Amino acid sequence: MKRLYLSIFLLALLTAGSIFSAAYIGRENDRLQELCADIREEVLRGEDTSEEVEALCDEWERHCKIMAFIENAANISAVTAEVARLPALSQTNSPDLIQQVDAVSAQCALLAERQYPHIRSVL
Amino acid sequence: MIIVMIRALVLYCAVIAAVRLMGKRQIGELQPAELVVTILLSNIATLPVEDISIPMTMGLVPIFTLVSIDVIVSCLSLRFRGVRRAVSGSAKLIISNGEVDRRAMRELRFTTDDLMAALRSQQVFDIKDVQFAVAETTGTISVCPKKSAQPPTAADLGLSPEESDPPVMVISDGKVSAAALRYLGLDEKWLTKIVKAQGCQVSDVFIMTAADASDYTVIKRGDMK
Repeated sequence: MKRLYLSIFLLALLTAGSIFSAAYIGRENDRLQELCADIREEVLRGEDTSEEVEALCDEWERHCKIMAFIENAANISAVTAEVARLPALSQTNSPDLIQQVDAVSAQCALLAERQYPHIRSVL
Repeated sequence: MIIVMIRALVLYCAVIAAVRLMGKRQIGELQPAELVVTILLSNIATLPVEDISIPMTMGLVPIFTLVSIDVIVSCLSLRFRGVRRAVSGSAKLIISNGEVDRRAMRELRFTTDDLMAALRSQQVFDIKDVQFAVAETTGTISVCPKKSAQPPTAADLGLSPEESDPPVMVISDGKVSAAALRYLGLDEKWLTKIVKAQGCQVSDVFIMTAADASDYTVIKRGDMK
């Protein structure tokens, strides 16, 4: 009986952890997508994007440390490399900034999507 | 490299904990569900050790999920016969009243050679000596020989030998087992007296077994070759 209770407790703990991690990643992804949208808008308006880019970099730096516990390091490194190019592009007002932000946004969305149980991610 | 070592250590502890959680039955007889969990565990545990880009949680979460589910299913099997049948299957008679059930053998994909090998492993060399044979859910064959082929028992010979428990280990490599003494209803005073009578001390005894106060065996270190 002790084993049964321990197993039920473990299963409940793992289920709670999985739901919490999916919710956390979803919330963080929303925040990253918002920042990406803000940068896009500022580029289109011709305003300075350095503040928003810095916020995005900080957000990702914080987020990727926690993501490392649940996501393959190679996938996280790929996004980190894309994010690292943003400050330089922002400082030079490069026209490639929107493309780069789109790439970061798409990769973050993909990472978040992988945590949700739907037919594509399960199969 | 140190990361691989730490990961291996953590996963070793996790797998030990998982196997302990599954219980002793896991180590001996494997039911189909337990065999599946054991195979999966060994594969899942090696992945995060080999590839450090995979997070440890990707190894630990499936290990404990599988083991927890296995324990819960085992408990449900104990309570519900339907679950037990679905998970472990049911035992099948392959020889009944001395007759081989060919249909059951076909269902189990059991050849005549398999049957004979299984009988021989149970010390039965002639199929006509078998009254019943059952294919168990663990894959083993249990054989009940005909009365005429069974060795005579004490009851057959009209004898009534005294029932007794097997001896237990009281001293192992110079160390006294207090639990064994308690089980036998004896104490250290008795033990010291017996050991002294053998001309040695407790630390000089390699093995001492006892069934009761008068039935014991002492093997001293000096007696060993």
